[in-house]
Amino acid sequence: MSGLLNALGLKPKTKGTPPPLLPDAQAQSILFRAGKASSKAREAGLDLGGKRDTLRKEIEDLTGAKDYAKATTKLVAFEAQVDNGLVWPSRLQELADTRAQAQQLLRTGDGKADQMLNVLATADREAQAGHYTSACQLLDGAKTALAKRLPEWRLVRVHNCEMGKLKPRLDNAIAAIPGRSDNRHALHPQWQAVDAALAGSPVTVTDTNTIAAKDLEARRQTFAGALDQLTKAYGAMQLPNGPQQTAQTEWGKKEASALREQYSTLFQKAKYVQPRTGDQEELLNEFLTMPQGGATWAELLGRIDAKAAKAEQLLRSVQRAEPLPDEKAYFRAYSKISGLVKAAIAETAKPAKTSMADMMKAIDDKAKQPDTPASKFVAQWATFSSILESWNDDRYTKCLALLPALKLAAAAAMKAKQDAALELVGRLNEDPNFPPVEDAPALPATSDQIEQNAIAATQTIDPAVLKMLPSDKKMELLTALRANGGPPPFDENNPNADDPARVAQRAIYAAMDLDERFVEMEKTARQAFVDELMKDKAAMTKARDDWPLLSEAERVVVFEKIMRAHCKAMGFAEPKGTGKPFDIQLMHNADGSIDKATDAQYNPGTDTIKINKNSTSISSDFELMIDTIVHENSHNYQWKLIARLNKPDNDKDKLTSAEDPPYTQALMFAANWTNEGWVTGKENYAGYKKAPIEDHAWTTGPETARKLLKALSS
Amino acid sequence: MSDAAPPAAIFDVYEIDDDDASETLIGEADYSADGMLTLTGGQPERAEYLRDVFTRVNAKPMISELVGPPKGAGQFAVSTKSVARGEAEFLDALQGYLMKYYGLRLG
Repeated sequence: MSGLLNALGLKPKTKGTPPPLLPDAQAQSILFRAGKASSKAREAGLDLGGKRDTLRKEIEDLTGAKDYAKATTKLVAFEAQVDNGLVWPSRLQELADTRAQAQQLLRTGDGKADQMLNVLATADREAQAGHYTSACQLLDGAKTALAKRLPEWRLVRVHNCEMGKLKPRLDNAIAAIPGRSDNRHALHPQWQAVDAALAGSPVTVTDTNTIAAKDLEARRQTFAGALDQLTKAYGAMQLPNGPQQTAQTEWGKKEASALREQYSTLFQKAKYVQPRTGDQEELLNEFLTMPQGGATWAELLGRIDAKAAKAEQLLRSVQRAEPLPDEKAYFRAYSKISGLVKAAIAETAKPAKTSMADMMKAIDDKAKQPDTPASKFVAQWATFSSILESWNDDRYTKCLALLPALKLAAAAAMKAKQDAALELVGRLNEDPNFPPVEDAPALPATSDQIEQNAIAATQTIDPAVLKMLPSDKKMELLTALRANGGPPPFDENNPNADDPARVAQRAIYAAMDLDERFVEMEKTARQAFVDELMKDKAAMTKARDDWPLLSEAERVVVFEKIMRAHCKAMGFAEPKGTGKPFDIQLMHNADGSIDKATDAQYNPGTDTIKINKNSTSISSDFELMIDTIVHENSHNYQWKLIARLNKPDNDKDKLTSAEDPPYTQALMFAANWTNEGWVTGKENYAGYKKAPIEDHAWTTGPETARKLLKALSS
Repeated sequence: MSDAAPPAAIFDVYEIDDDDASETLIGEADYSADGMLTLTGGQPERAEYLRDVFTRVNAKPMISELVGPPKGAGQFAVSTKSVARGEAEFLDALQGYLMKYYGLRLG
C-alpha cells in the first residue's frame, strides 16, 4: 500500500503524528483547547486556586504573541491541572489509605514513614491550593515509596507480633528457671543460647532503618528454638520434692498458658482451613479432635506442642498460590462424588478404625486381593491421589479427567454394601422370626416387629451407605420406624435421647441430605431474590449502613422487603395469617415472664414470623437479620409445601411427583414436620440441625444472606 | 516513635467461591489486640471490597451468631449468641462470621 502511495507521490498517514498545523490553525487549536479545558474546570467547580482564568489568559496572550511553543507548554500543564483536578475527589480514598498505611508503618518505627506522611500532607495542601498535578504526583510518589517498604514492613509486623507472644514464656522462664548466673548449673548452656539469641533479636523492633528486616525471622526462630530447648530441659528435670518441684509445677502451668497464647494464631488459622482433599480433611479432623487438657502440666505441654505440629502440617498442606488450571472445575466436579469416594475409602479401610497406620494397612491388604471391586477402587484411588499430591501444575486437569473412572470404581466398591442395605430395607415388613425360604413368602411382621426391624436396620447399615440409598428407601425406613404409632415423643423435662427409636430417627435424618435438584432450584431462585432486592440497591445499601440507627418501623419495611423477595423468588405465599407477616412484640415464657432468649420464630398456627422486641442482635446486626428472616421464612415455605402435599387429589394446586423439585424435598419436610418427628436441641443439637426442616433453614439462611451482601458490596 | 502494642495476629484473607468452595488469596490483614481488622495488602482490585467489609465488622461492638432455640422455646425458634469485642472468643466468632456472611477466611 505504502509503495503505491509513494508511486503516486503521496505519503501515507501515520497514526498519532498529525502533520504540524499552520501557524493560524495552531493558534486556533491552542485557543480551542484552552477554552475547552477552562469550560470543563468551570463546570466541575474547579477554580484551580483562583488561577483558572489567569492561566487561560496567559495562554491566550502567548498565543496572541505567536509564541506557540510557550503557549503549548502552558496549555499542556493547564489541561493536566484540570484533568487531575477532575479525578482528585476519586483519589481522596487513596490518600486516606496511603496515610493510614504510613501511620501504621510509623508504629513499627520505620523512619521513612515520617517522610511519607509529610509528603502526603503536602499533597493534601497542594490539592487544596488547586495544584492538582503536583498533588497527584506527590501521592503517586508516596504510594510507590510505601509499596517498596511493604515487604519489610510485613516482616517487622510479623516479628513484633510473634515476639510479643514469646515474651510471656521468657518472663516465666526468667522468674522460675535457675541457672543464669550459676556456671555449675545444668541449665547454664541453654540459658547462654537464649541470651545469645536475645542479643541478636530484640523483643520488639523499633527502628527498621538499623535492623535488617529480612534477618528478623531467622533471628526470631533462633530465639524461639533456644527458648524451647531451655524450657524442655527444665521441664524434663527430675527435681526433688519440695520448693524446687513446686516452682517447677507453677512454671509448667504458666508455660502451658503462654504456649497456648504463642500458638493461638496458628490454631485459629488451622481451625478455619477449608479442606480440599481427603488427606487435608483427615488432618483437619485430627487437629480438631486432639485432646485439649492433660492430667499433668508435662502432659499438657506435650499435647499443646503436638497440636501445634498438627496445625503446621495442615497449613502447609493447604498452602498454595493462584488457582491452577482446571482447579475450580475439578473441585466443582469432585464435590458431587466426594461422599461416595469417602464412603468407599472408609469401607476399604475396614475393619481398622484405630489409627491412620491401621487404616492404611487394611487398604493395602484389600489392594492385594486379586481383581475385586475393592482392589480396583484402591488402584484407581492410588493413581488419582498420586497425581493430586504431585504438586504439578496440571494435576487438577489430569484428576478432572480421572473423576468418572474414580466414581465408577467407588460405586462398584460400595455396591455389595448398598445391595445388602437395599435388601434389608426391602424386608422391613417381614417377620424376622420366619425369614423367607425358597418358594414360600415371608410372614408379615407385626407393627412392633416392623419398628424393631427399622431400628435394627439403622444399626446395621453403615451411615455412609445409608446416606447413599435413594430418597424413597430412606422414607420407607422412616415409615417403618413409625409403624407402631411413631417414635416416642421427646419430653423436654424427661430427656430420652438414647431411646433406640429416637437414635434411629436421627440416623435416618442424618442420612437425608437435601435433595440435590431442590438445592439447585433454590440456588437459581437465590439469584432472583438478589436481583429483586437490587432493583432498589440504594435503599438496601442505606439499610445495611444505617441498620442500628433505624426505627422499628423502618426495620419492619426492610424485613418485609426481604421476606417478599424471598417468597417471590421461590414462588410461595407470604406469611399473613393475622393480616401482617411480622408479629413484633415482647415474647413471653410459659410462666409469663419476659422471654429474653428467643430472637425470632415462625408460628405456623398464626402464619406469622414473630420477632422479639428484645432482640438486640436483630436490631444491631444487618447480616444476621437477613439470615434470621430467610431462616424463619424458609419454615413458612416448608409449611406451604406440606400444605400443598396434603391438598385433595382433585385440587390443581396439589403438589405431586409431576413437580419435582420440590416434591421429593417436600416429602422429607412432611416426614419431619410431625409431633413425633421433631428433634430438639436438648435431645441432640447436631441431630436438631440435621433434621430436614432445620437443615434447610440453617443452610439457606446464611447462603442467601451472603449472596445479597456480596451483591450489595459489588 | 510510638510504643503501641504489636498487632495480635497477621492473617491472609481468602475469598471462598460459593459454587465450588475454591479459595483465592485476595488480601492481608492485621488483627489488632483490640479486635480490629486493618487491610495491609493484597489485590488492589479487591482492596475496596475488603476495606468496606472490615469497616463494617470493626464498627460492631459484638459479633452475634444464630443458634438453636432456647430451652422451652417452640419449634422453629432461634436465639443468638453474642461475643463482645475484647472477649477471648472474639476472634473465633469474627472468623466464623466472615466465613458465613462474606465468604472470607482469615488464614
